[in-house]
Amino acid sequence: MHAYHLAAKLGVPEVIVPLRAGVLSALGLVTAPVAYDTVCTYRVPLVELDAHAIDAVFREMADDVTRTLRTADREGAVAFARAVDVGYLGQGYQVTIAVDGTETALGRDALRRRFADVYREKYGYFYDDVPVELVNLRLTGRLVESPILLAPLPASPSASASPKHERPAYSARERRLIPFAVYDRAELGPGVTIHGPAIVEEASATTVMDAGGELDVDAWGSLVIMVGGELRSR
Amino acid sequence: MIALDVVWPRLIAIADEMASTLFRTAFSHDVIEVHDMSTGLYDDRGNLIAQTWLGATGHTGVMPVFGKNLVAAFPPETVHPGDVFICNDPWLCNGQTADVFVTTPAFVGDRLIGLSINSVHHVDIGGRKGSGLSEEVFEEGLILPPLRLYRAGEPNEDLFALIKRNVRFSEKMIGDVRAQMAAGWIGARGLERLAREFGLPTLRPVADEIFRRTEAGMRAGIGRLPDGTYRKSLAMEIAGVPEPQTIALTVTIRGEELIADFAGTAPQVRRPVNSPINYTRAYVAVPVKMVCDPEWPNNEGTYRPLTVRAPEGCLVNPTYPAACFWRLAAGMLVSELMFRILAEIAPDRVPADSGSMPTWQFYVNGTRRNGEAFALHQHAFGGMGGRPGLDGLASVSFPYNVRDVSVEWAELETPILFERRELIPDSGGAGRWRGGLGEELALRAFDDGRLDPTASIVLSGSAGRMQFAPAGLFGGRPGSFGRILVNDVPIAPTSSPEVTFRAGDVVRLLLPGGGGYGDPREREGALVDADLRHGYVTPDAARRNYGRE
Repeated sequence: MHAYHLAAKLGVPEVIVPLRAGVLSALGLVTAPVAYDTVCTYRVPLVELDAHAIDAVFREMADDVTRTLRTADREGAVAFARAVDVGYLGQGYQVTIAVDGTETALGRDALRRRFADVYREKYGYFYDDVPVELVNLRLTGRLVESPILLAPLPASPSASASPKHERPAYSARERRLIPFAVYDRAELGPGVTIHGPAIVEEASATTVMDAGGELDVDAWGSLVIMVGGELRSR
Repeated sequence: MIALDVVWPRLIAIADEMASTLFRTAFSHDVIEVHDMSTGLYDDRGNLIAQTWLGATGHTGVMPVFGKNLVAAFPPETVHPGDVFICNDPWLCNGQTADVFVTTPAFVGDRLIGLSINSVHHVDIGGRKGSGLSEEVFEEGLILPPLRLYRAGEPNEDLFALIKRNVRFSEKMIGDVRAQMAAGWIGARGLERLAREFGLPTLRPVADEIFRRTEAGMRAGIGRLPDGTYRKSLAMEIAGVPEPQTIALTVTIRGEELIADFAGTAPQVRRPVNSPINYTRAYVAVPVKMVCDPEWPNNEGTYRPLTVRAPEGCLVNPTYPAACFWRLAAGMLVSELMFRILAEIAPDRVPADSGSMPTWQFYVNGTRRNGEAFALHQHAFGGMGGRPGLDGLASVSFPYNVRDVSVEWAELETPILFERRELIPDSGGAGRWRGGLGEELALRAFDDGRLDPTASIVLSGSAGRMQFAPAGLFGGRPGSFGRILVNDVPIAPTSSPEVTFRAGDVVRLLLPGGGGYGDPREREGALVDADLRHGYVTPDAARRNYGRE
């Protein structure tokens, strides 16, 4: 119900509302790929950092994670995401920086640049005169394939759908009541496009999309909503 | 004004975010562990609108007056985007050079709409390392009047260089100043975003409504207390001053206002225990707030019904250049006096004397073989007084609201070993509601091979209740005395101890327990049993105080 406006407020450009997205739905839990997070303390000043050695530690961690996923009886390809915790020497906390799987991303200059960007964005300032240190290596391993595959729905014969009816509802963008087209979700097959303001009704959930939003129904029947840019706060 | 219910909590949330930013970017344990700081948002007139819930009481209570001091020094037409201001003048700020205030202005377009201010206790500010013997503020480190730290986005390198050259652990100190700038930036951006989102060209109407409601809450609470004039005094022991010195307080309640007058208080002393008026005012306000209006958030409106008067040049309103580094020794006793007076007026809402007033805040300074200095800035807490209907809390930062440095951190950073940290049995005053227990800290400097054998280690700080134990209330017995022992030899009672020791020596700090509330003979047997079981009370004391055979 509030996903659209929450996303607009947080500056999130896209919202996906799967079928049967009621508050008691556990669909996301069972369809999410199995993943395993690890963190390894690796304390070294940035100026002494050896990208090759760190890459080797990451590879070891990847092997561990793969073994752990296999013990959970999971086969299939594993995708990895790397991150490092970096801070100024002497601080009590660090910032987490995502890095790609290459050794180049772990180079001193590359890390310093990324740290500067992240730190400045979070805290407004960045300084060159304080030593920077690496504290933790983080690795997440995720099975690429979902444990449960949902079957795609048959495509809708037409790209448009006709609303059940129309009723006035509050538009946060217009700051007043305006007419919203009301759709029955069961009627919205893959390939359908709807423009806001619209309300999509379903037994387990109601989706509200303000004026300026645009919605496509994907192959699985999920509503993929592009949030209207002028509503986003930044 | 429905929007106010959204905007007000949002302002407080931004102040809390400033506090988290301080913790996440700071370099010293004073900030990361102790939370000896505060953060707040102001309108363009320097009125405090919102504040973090996490701040230390002194900082918290001083922030309202500091905003106005800052605006007086830098009127709005002189303030530009990208400016950052710094100040630690004890008479404009928090009564102590180590507490540094950083201010970041917030703009909508070219128009100044408000200020984001935060304060932090720094691990060092130069001078005599927080000596208990200082006679003038000049010995207490660098004094920064209101100055520009940044001008339109450009750092004032001259000032940074001056600060760096005058403090120990400058990398930590400057690091914490930068943490303050980060927190200031978060606050100012938050304020600007909020103003844009709600289309507010100025914060004044929102601020005025917040003040009006808060002031009304305080006034209603004060109005429920009976009119009258109440007078009390207490004495504090000060090493180097022959006689105990008196703090005298007369409280007048007239309708919905409260006047606290310190006429009759002893003159300022040549020891660092004088409490500048800003700090005194903060500790007058806390008990009034707790008793009259514990619900509304703290802001400018909280202080409007309060008037604080103190003769110039007295212990609780010393004049420049009085020494004041350990002003909490006198300042927190101000709160105790307020509680004693309020106990007569609202006996159902006030605890007995608390051994936690004053907090024992101290530095342990020393030198390593390579000439490098180390410093531990630590807090220790006595027990809270017994409360109407509840025992006092043991070893608690009441009403100071900070935490202590973890033993792990202290031992990691300094060659000080904590041999013992435990509650002291029988230290809480007996009563129907027992006083909270004080704690004992036993510190030993150990030579890890890096300690300079020729240099002594100095513990200096604030203490109290070594000669005048926390009193009981309504028949409750007093809590235990505070004591400091070096190798088991007690030092003379003082409010600003300065103890010199060497590797191998053991310094024991025994913090006072709180006073008891009500006649001990009325204490429920089950509670005495529980105290015996927990070891809070010894069988001997149970027999003596509670008639338990």
